[in-house]
Amino acid sequence: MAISDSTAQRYTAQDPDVRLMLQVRDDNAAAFEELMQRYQSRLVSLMTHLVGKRDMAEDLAQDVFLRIYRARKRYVPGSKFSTWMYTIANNVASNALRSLSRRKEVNLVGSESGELGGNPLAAKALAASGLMPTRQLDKAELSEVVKIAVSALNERQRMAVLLNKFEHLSYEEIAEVMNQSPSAIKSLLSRARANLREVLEPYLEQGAKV
Amino acid sequence: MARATGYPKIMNTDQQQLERMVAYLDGELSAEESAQVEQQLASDEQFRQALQGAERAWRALDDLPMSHVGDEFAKTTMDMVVDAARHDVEAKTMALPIQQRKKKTTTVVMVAMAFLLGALTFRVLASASNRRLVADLPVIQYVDIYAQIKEVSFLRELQRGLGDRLEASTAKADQFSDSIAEFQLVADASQRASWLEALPSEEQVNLRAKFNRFRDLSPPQKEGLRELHQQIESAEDREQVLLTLFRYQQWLKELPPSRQYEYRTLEGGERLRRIANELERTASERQFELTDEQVREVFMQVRPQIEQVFERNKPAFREFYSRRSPQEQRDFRSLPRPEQMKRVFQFAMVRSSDQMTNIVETIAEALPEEMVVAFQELRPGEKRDRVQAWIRQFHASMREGGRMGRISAAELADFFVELPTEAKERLLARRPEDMQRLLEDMYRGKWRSSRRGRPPGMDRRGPRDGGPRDGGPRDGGPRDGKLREGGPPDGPRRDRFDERRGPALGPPGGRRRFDEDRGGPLESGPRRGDMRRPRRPEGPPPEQG
Repeated sequence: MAISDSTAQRYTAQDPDVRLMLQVRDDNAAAFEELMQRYQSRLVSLMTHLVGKRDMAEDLAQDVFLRIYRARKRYVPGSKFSTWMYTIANNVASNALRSLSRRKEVNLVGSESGELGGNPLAAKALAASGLMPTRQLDKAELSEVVKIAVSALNERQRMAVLLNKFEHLSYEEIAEVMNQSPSAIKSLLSRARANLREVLEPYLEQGAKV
Repeated sequence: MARATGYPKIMNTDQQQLERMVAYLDGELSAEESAQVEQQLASDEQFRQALQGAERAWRALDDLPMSHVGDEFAKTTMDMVVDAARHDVEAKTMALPIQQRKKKTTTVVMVAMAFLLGALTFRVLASASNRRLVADLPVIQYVDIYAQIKEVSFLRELQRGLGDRLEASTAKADQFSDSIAEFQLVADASQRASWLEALPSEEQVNLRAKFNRFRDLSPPQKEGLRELHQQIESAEDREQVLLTLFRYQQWLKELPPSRQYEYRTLEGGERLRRIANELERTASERQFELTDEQVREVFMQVRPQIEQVFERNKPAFREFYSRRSPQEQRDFRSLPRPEQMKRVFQFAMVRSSDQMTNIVETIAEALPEEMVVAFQELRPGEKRDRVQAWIRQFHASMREGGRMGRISAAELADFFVELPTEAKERLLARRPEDMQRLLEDMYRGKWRSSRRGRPPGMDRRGPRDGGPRDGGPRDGGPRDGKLREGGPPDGPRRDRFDERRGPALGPPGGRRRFDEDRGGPLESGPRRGDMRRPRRPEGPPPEQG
């Protein structure tokens, strides 16, 4: 879909990262490095939670930046820069996860249906971790529980949750990133949060050790 | 006994209600919808508790460990991006160990490299941690020639022992004044930033490539180059040292990369001896340099005599060829024409040195006046070598399009820029050597097509009735054997030359022989479909059937 001049101008005016990316389009390497500095940690975090492996996450994040570089000449600001970047990130992550699942390296694969109710895989992972909600957990342990809970979501739910929670993308923006409708994202996030609550609830009742 | 949970389960909650709840928490509801939710919150305890539970779980995600990456990630990512761009450039350019300055670079290359210069500039100028890089800028700029010499004493010895001959092989002293002035500028730390900013786009391309070569050196190698630069900069005879340096650089650039590498590995006296021999050889060759047009003139004049030689030797070729193994026969057919020519002449010479002597003497008479005396002073063996070199040049020029002769890099670059994007991408997907060959074929095809009205790149058929000739007019032309504007004289059509297959095989099948040909010796090559790479056969050439 062609992006209108008014849309491009609006995002250029509103988003400083769009302005940086336009400089990258004009071969400004300093602008590229600035964008990278702004997003590298967030992107690596996102990828880590998506694929579960830090080193792979860094590789994927670098792949995203490389794709941004390669696409710079075709860049037209039709959305916030972060939305565009996460669209690329979503594609990269999806490809990676597809490859991982083919190699059966994914240990936790959430159900595609995202049914409400307890996630047996999450329960299994939590049981394996020894972090049962029979005692108070310290902060680090609770963090581990949350990590397992997120990893137990299916890929799409996980991506939507991470983008919504940590990147503060709206439903519409997430929809653009994931090539879904906003109503589909609404449904996706509601199921994801229900699943998270199911898994985390017992631990949250105990509270964390002070 | 299981403890009752503090928050109501939402398993049985209407999905729509769940979505509304979560959307409310995310601020995604309209004002009206939010009001409805708040109304429900006020009146429905269960709903309120469910929402609080959802919110609590959401807040728990704040404990999710977040990753932090350091400078190393940014550095390696930038290196990766720069390498990607460099890879693009290397695939598109034909690089030599000492880069030849190109008059023009394709738009595609410039786009890629403009970004790289930005990266280089940014790294060189902006960051305090790159002060070393700024200090190394002169070494980077001259990394290629510095890598060729170890000490400034070599330059002094070169000047002392071979200065005159080196000067004769290169440009005059005043033509290096710009290079020397640039050296002074780059050597001055206070001028480097402005020098860098003023660098033309093409030079930016070169500098970036040099930066990468310098970066890939080991620390001791880098230190060695820095010391060398210090020696040159502080030399009392700096002007002369620089002049010798740039002369040597210009002379080296003309040599093949393998020869450049060879010189770099030689020590002191041995290197000077080899350079002396090379200078003498190139001086001698320059004395006998003919342009493509001149070489064609010469061979057109001696064509009748050459035809006689091959007519006389054809039975012998045929017999010898028939006794070779099928593989050797195929190998010979797959040879490029110049190599076949060489074998043919060797065969003729072996059978009768008089034949060769006659050819050589006939050629001598056809040479430009200024060359005849020097040629006659050569020893017989040197004369034959020189004639064979001209024969190779003759056939190379005929293969490359007749009157067009060799195609310059500038012509190719201009042609490439004008190609459609799709054609460019197809070429760029090839290896550099294949790309150049295909580009030359397309250029020649365009030239021939423009004379025949066919689109460029569509001229890849073999022989056909009424097919055009290389460089010849479509409508026929003079048949007196003289070169005219428009290329070689008309003659029977030739097979479209395919470098992969070699020239077309002689008959049967309508393939051409020398006696039907436009002036070269027997053509041969693999039959259509035989895509073997040309190999050097052993022994004298087999006869063509």
